[in-house]
Amino acid sequence: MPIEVLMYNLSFNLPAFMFIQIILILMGVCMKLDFQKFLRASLTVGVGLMGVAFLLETILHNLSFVPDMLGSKFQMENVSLDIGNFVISAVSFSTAIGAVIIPFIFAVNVILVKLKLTNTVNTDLWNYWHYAFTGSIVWLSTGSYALGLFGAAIHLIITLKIADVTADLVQSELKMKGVTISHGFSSVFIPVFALLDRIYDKIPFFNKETEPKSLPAYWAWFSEPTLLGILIGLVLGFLCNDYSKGFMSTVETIMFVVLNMVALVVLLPRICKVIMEGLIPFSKATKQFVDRLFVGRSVNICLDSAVLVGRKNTVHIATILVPIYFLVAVFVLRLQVIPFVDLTTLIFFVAFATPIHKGNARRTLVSCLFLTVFSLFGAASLSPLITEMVYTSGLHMSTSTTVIGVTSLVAGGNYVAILLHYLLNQGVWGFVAVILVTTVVVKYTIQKEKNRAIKQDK
Amino acid sequence: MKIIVIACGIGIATSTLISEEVNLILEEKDISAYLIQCRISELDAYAEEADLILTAMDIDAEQGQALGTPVLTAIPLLTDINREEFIEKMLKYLS
Repeated sequence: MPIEVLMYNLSFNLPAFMFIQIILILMGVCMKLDFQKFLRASLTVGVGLMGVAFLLETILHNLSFVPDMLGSKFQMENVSLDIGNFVISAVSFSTAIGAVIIPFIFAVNVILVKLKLTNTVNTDLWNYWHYAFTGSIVWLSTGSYALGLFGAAIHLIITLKIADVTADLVQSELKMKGVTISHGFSSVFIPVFALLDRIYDKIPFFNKETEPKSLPAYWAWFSEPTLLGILIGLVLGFLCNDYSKGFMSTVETIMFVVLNMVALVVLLPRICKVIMEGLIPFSKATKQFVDRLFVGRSVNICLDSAVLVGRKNTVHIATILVPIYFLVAVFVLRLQVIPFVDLTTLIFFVAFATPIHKGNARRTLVSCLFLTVFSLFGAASLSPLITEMVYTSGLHMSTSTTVIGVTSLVAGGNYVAILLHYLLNQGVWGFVAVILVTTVVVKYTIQKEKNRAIKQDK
Repeated sequence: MKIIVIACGIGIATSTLISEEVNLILEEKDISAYLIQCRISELDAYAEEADLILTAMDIDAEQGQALGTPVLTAIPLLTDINREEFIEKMLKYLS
């Protein structure tokens, strides 16, 4: 059955992003929230998603000539534009998986805690989008809604277990107890960074502390969103121009591209702010619910990985990575991915690397280089699925024959989604493999926790 | 009217959460203040006009001093741990 039909059927013939509003209203009723409050909140989320869908549709339609031009002038195939994790998060909530993700993930989390398989409760509802994304990708590629939910649950289990094991690190960084971070994107890279750290220990180059010098003012063109939009818009405008149409037409095209690019990086995040505001009352109610549910049991609650971005090197390294992303995208990937909006959120990429490498700038930078290459390849590989997800969730299907592919560096770095998408398409063996790997991860982390507890008691 | 600048990673997600909490507190105590949300990398630009800076994360001590405006880490508002202590400190700077 075609995906769009499935979504319409599941959402009673409404555009996909309206489905989540119904679920939120039901949640409000079940949690016995104040009627005015949750009705306001649900509609706020709904109109925020609507805003993203309609604005995105316009901008993508405006930019749909880009792949053709790049293809015909530079033989660049499969170009996709990084439209940023704000859009992808909104779209993830708009799918039929995303609509039910909040009660589903929360229920799975509570069950895991009750079964004593984890000590972490994730009430950061906005960040549920990562799980919705993984679930939607799996659903789209396998065609099975149940497998999609299964994929989302697996992603949750892995981030919860990583959160359990890193609770110490987070608590010592923030100097407070009872918290951890279970972030669908940042958390899954912790084992990678931890492994790299052990390798760096053996190489003298990485044992020197360096003080990064402060960057001159022109680096703002790479770090400030509007300036970045203007810069990339200008480059893209120059590249995608049909210069035969005369001077005025050329200037118009360039200005048009710049305007649309800046709109992507300035307007869309602000509309997502509306969605986040709508989720706040639900977040609060969930937290209170958790307090009542686990009285007497010390669980760690989750913070967003934003709380780790304060270290001096983090912002610095995030800015340096921007031109590196371009170099890799152009020379290694032949611009299959145009890094753009997510470049303004690179601090989240770096956020976990800095504490694990104990602030060592060299180690952090090299680890983030790995992340750069990986996220670009991941973004390129997931681009077809992401494009399908974006164009079918509440947007009218584009009437022009070319559509501009879309992707996101943050979503591309989500290797859990990539692995699940690959494995769950391999039939029964893939499914069994996923269960095996997850069981191993759970057992390994529980054992690690026990060992740590024993060491502490000694 | 006091100006409070709230900084987080991108100036949209966590700072919105903090801003909502601060609004509730200010309403309760009947204080009027103007809230600005920004990214952590933009703090230098906003530091002069701000009467108080709230951040979603701990920032380096020297960076905090260089800003010239009092800086408080607003994580207690997100976790409800040490919330009262934080509110006291914040109100002190706003009086």
